[in-house]
Amino acid sequence: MDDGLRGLSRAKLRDNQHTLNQPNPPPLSQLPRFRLLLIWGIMIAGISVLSLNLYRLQVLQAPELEKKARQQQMVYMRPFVPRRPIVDRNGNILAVDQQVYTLYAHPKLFKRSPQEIAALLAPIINQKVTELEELFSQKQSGIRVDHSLTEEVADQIARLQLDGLELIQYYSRFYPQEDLASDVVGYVDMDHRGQAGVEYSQENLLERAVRTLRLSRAGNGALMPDHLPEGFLHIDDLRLQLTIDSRLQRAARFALKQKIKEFSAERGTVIVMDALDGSLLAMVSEPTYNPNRYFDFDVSLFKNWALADLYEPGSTFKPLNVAIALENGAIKRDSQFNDTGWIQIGKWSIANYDKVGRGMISITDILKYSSNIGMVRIIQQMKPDVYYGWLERLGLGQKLDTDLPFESPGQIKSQQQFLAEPVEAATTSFGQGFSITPLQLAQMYSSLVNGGKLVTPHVVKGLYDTQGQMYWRPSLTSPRPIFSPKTTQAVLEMMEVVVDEGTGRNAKIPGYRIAGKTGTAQKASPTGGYYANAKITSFVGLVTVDSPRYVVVAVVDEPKGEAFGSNVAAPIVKAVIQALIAIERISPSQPTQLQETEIENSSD
Amino acid sequence: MNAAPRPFVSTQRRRSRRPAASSRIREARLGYSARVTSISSTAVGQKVTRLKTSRQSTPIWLRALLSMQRSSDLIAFFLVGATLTLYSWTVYNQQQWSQDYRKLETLQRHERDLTRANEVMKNQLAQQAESPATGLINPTHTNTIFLPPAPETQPYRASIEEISKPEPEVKTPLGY
Repeated sequence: MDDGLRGLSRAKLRDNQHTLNQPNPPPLSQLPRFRLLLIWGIMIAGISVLSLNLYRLQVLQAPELEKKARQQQMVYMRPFVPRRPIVDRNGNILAVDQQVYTLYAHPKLFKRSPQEIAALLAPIINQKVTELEELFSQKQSGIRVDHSLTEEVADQIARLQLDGLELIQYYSRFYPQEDLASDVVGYVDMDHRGQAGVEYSQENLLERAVRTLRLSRAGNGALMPDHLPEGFLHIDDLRLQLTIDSRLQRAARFALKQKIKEFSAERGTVIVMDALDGSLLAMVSEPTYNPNRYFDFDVSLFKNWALADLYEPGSTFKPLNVAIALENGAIKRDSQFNDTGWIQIGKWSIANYDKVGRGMISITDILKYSSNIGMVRIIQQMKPDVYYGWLERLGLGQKLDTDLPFESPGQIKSQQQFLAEPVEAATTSFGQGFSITPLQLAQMYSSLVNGGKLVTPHVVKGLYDTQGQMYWRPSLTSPRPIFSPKTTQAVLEMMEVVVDEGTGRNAKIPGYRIAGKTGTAQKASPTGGYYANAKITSFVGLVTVDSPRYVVVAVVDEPKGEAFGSNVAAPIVKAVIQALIAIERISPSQPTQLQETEIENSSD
Repeated sequence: MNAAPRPFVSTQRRRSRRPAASSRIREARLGYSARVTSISSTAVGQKVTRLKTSRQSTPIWLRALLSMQRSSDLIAFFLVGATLTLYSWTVYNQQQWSQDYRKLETLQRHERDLTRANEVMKNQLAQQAESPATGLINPTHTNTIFLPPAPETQPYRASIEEISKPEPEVKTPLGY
């Protein structure tokens, strides 16, 4: 025992006192001290080794280790901050963001054979196994297998847990109503930038700021909240609400499509406007495109021709001229004019469309028969420069400042040109020699409906949250008064006769007092003059005469065959007004007439 | 402190092996144990009286220090407890947060899915309804029931005013 202790003391302890005491048996009281010192030594050694290691980790290797830890713990995240949705006035979603994935394959990282992977993958992404195998053999990595995969599909692929497949998340815009409102809503490109319609013009209202966040991550991959910026979770729920009504839009598109097909027309447009504030309830252009697959369509479809392309309005402009003359005091409501069938102005001869002279007729009849000569006579009551001033006040040749992009200003001859030739004022009287957009025509007619004010047509109602609380509203220029209510009411009543007895009979709806005007104009060619066979037919309907509020404009470009405003555009307007009556719950002004037709219908 | 009983055991073991040295060992043991623990059977009486006097003369500063020590012990105990609770709370909270965040993400995703499905269905139904085969028709004025606005009658004075004031024909349409 002593030997053993001595051996221990020799080996471990370097206490001189102990070695001196060795010849004698060591004092018993000192024996435990060896052990104490031994334990102490072991512990001190342990502590110092640990401290050294700590020093190594915390000081020497600290920067390197810290970097490693950061790499593992920090995750740079771009959270899903979607573009604001676009909804119609009833809250139906017209455009919304969604998360989609692109699938990449890296065959060099495959742990299983490409054949196996192709067999597993094919049914999920609806592709053929052989095609996938061929795809995998093309490159070693970075093969784009599929794109626009939905979250469910991405989940299914992730659940396969295959090495060598990579899902990259991105955001895409989804238009659930497809082509229903594409002319108004527009589309976004691959970079999520608006390229047409409201998506383009209201980019600043739709975009939410996307921040890249640095978050820390726990060992199991879960996100930790310790570096979260303030307001991380609080994304506003604002949506861009439009004044468009999807149901009316659908009805208008359906009616327009049918007529375009029937007359093999080039294109057509329907506009429904609430004349009180200029909000557009429907705006349809045909042909159109599906914004979900915009890349499959012709670029020329992306501009809405209802406000981007000019046309000569023709006879649909006549009621506006009558309003100008009435307001100006050049004519009275009961004035009569001699319709001779044709007249000669300078070297030009002007005739009615049917070359028939009707003798002394009232203004109402001039509109009813759409008499060109009668209109020339009316305008001749005004000095050309006064008339030109009125055309300018109506906004001819100017932009509307609407909230849709790519709008064209109308075209009108310069004052000098206009005054030089008397024929200019004469042709303008029946709507030729200048050009406007269909939307401008709707805006000008709104002044006849709302008591004489020019309103700004617009589609954006404002930013609303999901509870319907308004956060932002566009500031519109205040309506500009041009006609007196007396004048507009007089013109409305004249236009009512057009629908009741004249060229607009196809738009007549029993029980309702609807004012309207047809238009069939030769198409102006860009090189000057007119095309021989190309026509633009149009119809304007105003609802209703006793309580005017809505303007419905239909324009159909180049219908073939026996096509006039009365048989192409008027039926479209009628169908749209019928839908409008149901949607806006417009009650009939002559209920008895309505009952009579019901009885007729039931007896059929 | 713990070192005290150990030599005690080892000396006893040694004694059993070497009886000749036992007396010396006992001396050493007694001496040692007395030195360490201050407990000796022969000196009990003396020590007790001395302890008593010493307790009486414990200075006030010492007592203050002792009570301070006791209270700081208590404070330290509670602080340690509080620290541990706080720490565990933060860890738990973080876990809870990440769990809830995951839940939020799934809910948001469900919301997106539902919105999408709802709108797609609406569009499909509307497109189907356009084909005449479905037998659906658009609402028009002919298949709509119009109710004339109810005359504003005041129940109590109705009988007097009925004759003198006939209801004016209401021309304002219902819809506006």
